[in-house]
Amino acid sequence: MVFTTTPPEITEEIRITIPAIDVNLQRGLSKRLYIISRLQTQFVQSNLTLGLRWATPLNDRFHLSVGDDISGWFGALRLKDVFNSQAYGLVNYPNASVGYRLTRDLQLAVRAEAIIDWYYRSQVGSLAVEYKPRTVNGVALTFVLEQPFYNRRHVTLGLRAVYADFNWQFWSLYETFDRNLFYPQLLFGFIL
Amino acid sequence: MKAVAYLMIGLCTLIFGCREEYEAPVPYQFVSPPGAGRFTTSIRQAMEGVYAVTNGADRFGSQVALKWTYTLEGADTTFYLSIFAGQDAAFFNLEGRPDSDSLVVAGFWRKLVNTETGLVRFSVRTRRNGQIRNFSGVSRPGDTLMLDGTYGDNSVQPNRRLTLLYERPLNSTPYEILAHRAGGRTSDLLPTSENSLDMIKLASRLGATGIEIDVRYTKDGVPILYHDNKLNLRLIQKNGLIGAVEEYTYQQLSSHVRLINGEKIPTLEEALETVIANTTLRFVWLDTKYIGPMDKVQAIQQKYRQRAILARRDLRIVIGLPSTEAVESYRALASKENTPILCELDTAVTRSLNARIWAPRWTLGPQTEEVKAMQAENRTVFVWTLDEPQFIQQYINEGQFDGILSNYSTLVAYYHYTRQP
Repeated sequence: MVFTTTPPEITEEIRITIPAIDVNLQRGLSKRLYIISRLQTQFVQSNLTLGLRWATPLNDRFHLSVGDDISGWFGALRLKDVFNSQAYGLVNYPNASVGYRLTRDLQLAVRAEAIIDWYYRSQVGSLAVEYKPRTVNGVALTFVLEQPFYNRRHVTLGLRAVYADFNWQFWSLYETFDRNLFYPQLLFGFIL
Repeated sequence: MKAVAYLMIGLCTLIFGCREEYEAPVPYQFVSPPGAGRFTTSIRQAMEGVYAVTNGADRFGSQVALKWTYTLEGADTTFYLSIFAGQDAAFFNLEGRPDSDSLVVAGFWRKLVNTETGLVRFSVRTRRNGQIRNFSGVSRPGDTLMLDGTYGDNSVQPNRRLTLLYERPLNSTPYEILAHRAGGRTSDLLPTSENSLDMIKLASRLGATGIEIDVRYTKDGVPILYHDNKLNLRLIQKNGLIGAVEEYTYQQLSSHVRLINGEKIPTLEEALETVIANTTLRFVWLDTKYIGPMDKVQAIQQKYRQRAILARRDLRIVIGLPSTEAVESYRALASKENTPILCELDTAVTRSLNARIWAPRWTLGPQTEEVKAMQAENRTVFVWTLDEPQFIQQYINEGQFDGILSNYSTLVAYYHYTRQP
């Protein structure tokens, strides 16, 4: 699960934390190359990510990985007297991670990502707008702790700090001010 | 494990402590001399229009719209020149400079989608057969009016060339440019606070022909202007008071609470008095943020409607009905005579209330058939609250609406005035 808190700059006095289902899959293509996929969904809006990651151990405690993910998001809202809108877009996330084994059972991973908007399209009724910015929209820094949980399964707890001008989960708020806002995200998951 | 704890605390401090503060202070001090000075009525009329940007288009776009506005203070009238640009919701606010022996305007520019701002200064000139001379107020055949000037960033003295060449008159099609929260949100970093008297006075310089204001009641039943449910540091300066404005008397709010830019929270009566006494605005939308009886707001609406009639002002003051609760409050009024309303719910409710104005959300789309049907029944249709620049352009060019409510009234003004019928 991912819990994202709304930034007060756009939701004003309303502060809510929105949950999203978050499913991650990873498969090794070779000893050090992996393909990853990720689905986040809140039903009315979803995000599908595909990426490649190259990872290598640096020593007994440190691991390093670099990768690039491409993410497509889509949202549609149809509410009486409120919305007849939909939007979708493409975002690129080049990223690098460092893993550190803190104790025998506890690992910390720190991940840095650039967020590059590739495409945005929004439609209300019969009107639509489209942007092809290809610009760096923001950055994200993630800290994740992982430890064994039960029967060879692991549990993860993390914090992702996103500083971005646009966050796909808030497309329906149509924020227009050009500034990087802070979107804190709490990550909680099981590695099966 | 201690090291891990320290590490996590340090990282959290780093993450949460890096939030950037955004500011856009106005770099120009207005002299605001009463009267028009050298800018006589005929000169002001000649200057209004759509201009091509021949120097500075990379920063402000290829064309702009120039429009004069004025505010009233007793018997004094103060004129301002506004320039509306399409790029990044940029606008200029200028005044005639009395310290020059030719036609000179100076002021500041700002982009509403970011914090970019700066100083600007123009001389009004004419160009004819490549020759440029100061404009005397009389145009000869073949003359092209031009504003020749410079601009700079922030408080830096203007040193970059900015030239505007007259192209055509402003689009004169009737259209309401309605400014949200009296002119714009506090978060848009304007020099005055949302829902304040100063913002009402500023609204026309931001392109507005009308305003939307948020009405709530104090504990002792005084209708005031305030948007949020609670007192919070988004809107007011730190003062120790917390909770809903409805929990405080007007005297308490007046004594202890200041809006973010230092203004008092105004009463609805003060706001409408300001509209009539100080501005040329022609539309006021009273957004119903309270739940409960509407009779006090109705009485004030009717009082100031009469005042506007006596002052020979073309001013409509309407009560907005955004919810079924507000509709019920309206239905509960003993008399609905001389109480214009605006309905934000669907067309069926609008018809059942016989509201003369229908105002759907912009996120429902252009709704062309419904809009035309309502207009055929002699109703006015506005759309709210539309800020997305490309959609503003499309709603003006392709939509059938009679006006747009926006936080970017400057951008609505730009697309409306530059539109070619």
